[in-house]
Amino acid sequence: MLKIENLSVHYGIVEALSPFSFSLKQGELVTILGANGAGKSTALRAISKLLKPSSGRVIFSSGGQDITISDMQPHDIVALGISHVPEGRGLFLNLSIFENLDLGAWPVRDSKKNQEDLDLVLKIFPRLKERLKQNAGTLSGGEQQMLALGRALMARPKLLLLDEPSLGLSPQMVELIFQVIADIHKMGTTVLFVEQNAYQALHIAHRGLVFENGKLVLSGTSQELLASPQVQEAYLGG
Amino acid sequence: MTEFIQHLINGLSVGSMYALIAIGYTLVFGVLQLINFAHGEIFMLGAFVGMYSALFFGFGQTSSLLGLFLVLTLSMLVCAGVGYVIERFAYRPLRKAPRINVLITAVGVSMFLQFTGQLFFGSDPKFFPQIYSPAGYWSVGSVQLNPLQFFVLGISLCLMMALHRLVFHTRMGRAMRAVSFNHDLASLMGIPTNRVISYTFMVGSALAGAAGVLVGLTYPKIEPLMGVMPGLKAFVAVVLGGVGSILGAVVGSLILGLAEEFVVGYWAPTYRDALSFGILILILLIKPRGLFGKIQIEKV
Ligand SMILES: Nc1ncnc2c1ncn2[C@@H]1O[C@H](COP(=O)(O)OP(=O)(O)OP(=O)(O)O)[C@@H](O)[C@H]1O
Ligand SMILES: [Mg+2]
Repeated sequence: MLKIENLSVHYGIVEALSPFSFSLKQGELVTILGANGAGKSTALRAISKLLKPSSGRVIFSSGGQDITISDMQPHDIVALGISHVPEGRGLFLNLSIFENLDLGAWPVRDSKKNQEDLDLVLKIFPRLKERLKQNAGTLSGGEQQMLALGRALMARPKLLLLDEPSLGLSPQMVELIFQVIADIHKMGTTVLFVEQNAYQALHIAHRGLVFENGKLVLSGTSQELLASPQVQEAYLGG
Repeated sequence: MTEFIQHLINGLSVGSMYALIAIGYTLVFGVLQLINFAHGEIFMLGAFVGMYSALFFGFGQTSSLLGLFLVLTLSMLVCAGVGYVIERFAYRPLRKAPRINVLITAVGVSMFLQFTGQLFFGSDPKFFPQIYSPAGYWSVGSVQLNPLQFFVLGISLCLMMALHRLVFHTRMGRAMRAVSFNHDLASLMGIPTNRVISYTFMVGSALAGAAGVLVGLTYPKIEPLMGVMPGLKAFVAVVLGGVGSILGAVVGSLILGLAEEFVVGYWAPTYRDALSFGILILILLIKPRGLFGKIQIEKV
């Protein structure tokens, strides 16, 4: 579904990501692991074209067609069915919760579908329901993450990119968010998510990719990674 | 009392003209963090388009409401087009450039329009046809009111309400506010940010164009440099109200219009312009965020 070929990114003259390749099959749930500054967010931002890659390309296959999305603009990529929830949730704090959800529905130009999706999101996250008219800035961190996920669902994505969805959340909230990610995946969405929380991430993911200093150093199934001494030492407290 | 009411109404009229211009400043600032110095020139173009189209259609001999609406619409459309072209060809190529470059470009565009205006329209003042001139005066007690002023006030109020609807109750308006918050985030929602920015320029320019026609109607002498002062005043009003806030732009404009009118009327007739800039300096010193603003303006 997604094929990344020799993608690299520079910030100015500094190479943030050395050329790397990997592919994602439809229906997979894959996590990207790595320490702070490893280049995980950079990788997601290059896929959704918030950053211009300095080499390589990204190909998205959908409906039997291969589309080189690395030539496209971010909003067109969203329209193809790739939604990116950025690090820090990326809510519009000047808008209400409802308006945030509705902006998420931008690519779906069908008010009946929008309403169905809204009902679904509010069923998954009932806490958002009572507060639809309130400003997104009034939500707690966990609720903001719910809103960010819910908003992404409103676009009916085929592929969901999540950047550290558990960041700064309480253990129960992390549990809930992971549960929701697993549920979203079960509903048929392919998910690629960045995590620091390696143990929990590998627990729900099929596969993992490990970045270190801008390089893709390891990849394998979750079992393999959980068993790998390298991962155990770096992320699972030996 | 008579005098007071007259000043009040004059102040509101002038203020509402500033407001129509100021809204464009603040909208554009919202989506691009750019003070579009060429905005006053769009207002000037609006007046000239109004004048030429009125002459072309032969409006102005007799008072015609239909004629006025036609001229107003035409002027708003042309100004929207000019706003689009300016954004597309002068500002968009500089989207990733340092802000100061864009600011200098804006000053350049402003001067380009002033001089092009002088070239094509001539630098001497022209008479704006009186497309619509309601007869007589309304007398309220001893106060005599010019109906035209109320009419103009009414039109600007309608335009402002339409704008409010557009920004707060339409999909495009929501996209404008999303782009104002953050371009990257907006594009992650699938919003075509460049198209939204173009649209914002067009809406702001259309309002400035309308102001040009309405000013022509009330003060029928127009010339290519007529945009400079109102442009600056509207800018002051925006800073006063808080850069980026639409409500702020309107309130700031009305305050400025009233303050000018009362100072000129009761105290010092020659201080009209000095007053605005005095207010600008005061606001920047005391409350740089303005009355309703969230954004601190950068010193450049
Ligand atoms: N806008 C930028 N300009 C210059 N350098 C940047 C920029 N953004 C990130 N970097 C650098 O690129 C490298 C990778 O950053 P990135 O944000 O992708 O890391 P990350 O793996 O997501 O880290 P974290 O877990 O802390 O979010 C870091 O060294 C970072 O300092
Ligand atoms: Mg990151």
